[in-house]
Amino acid sequence: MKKIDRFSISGDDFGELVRSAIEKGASVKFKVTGKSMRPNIHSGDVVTIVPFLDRKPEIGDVVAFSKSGTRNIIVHRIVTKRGNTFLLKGDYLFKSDGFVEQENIEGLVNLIERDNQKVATGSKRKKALLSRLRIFCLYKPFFFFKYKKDSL
Amino acid sequence: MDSKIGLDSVYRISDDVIFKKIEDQYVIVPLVAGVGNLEDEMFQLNETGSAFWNLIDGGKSLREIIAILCKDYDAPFEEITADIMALGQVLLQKKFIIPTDAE
Repeated sequence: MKKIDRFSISGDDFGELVRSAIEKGASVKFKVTGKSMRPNIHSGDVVTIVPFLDRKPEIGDVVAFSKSGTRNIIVHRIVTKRGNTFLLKGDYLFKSDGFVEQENIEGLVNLIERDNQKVATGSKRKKALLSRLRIFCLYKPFFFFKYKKDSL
Repeated sequence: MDSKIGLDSVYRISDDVIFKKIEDQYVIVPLVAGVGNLEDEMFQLNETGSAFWNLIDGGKSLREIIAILCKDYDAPFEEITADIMALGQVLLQKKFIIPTDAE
């Protein structure tokens, strides 16, 4: 028996391990990579994912999910909901992940640690709003261009 | 709890582990206070170890499991026994398996 790290297995298999734990009612913790959740989660931060036992996902929650038809795990924020589907997005990104079914949301990030210190998460609804506003930032130059063109 | 592996003892997989078969090899993650550390505490069994893990069902003794493995791998009883006892001892010490007679 040998000790391995998460990069010894594929992203899909890693996702399956996360799902196995959550289905069992257990929690998992692992390091996140990438900058899609900056400034709230940095690459290298350790997140703890817990199952949604007695509540449903809410706007502002940072969750672990997989896109439909895929098995790897992504950690992003719920920025809005429509029925039983949730719009997910990385806080740093301009583009959303699209609407995701509740069944594809595996668990909730309830703890973020950086350098072995707990990171304060602040108001999640405010962060969801700021994240949504970032989507519109992408289109702002086009609105400006249209305005200038129309005013000529 | 007896921490020495016994050839005639029966073991079962602990509730405090999660495991997944990945390309014929099991990956095992212990749960500490209900949390699996996927960063620092992942263990992988080789093919023989995975075959052993697959046979731990809380019903068969180690001796019976070894007999099955001897047939499957066409290897001498002594050789398989030495490997399985060594692996079993590690699994027991890490509390990945627990003796059923301790319950």
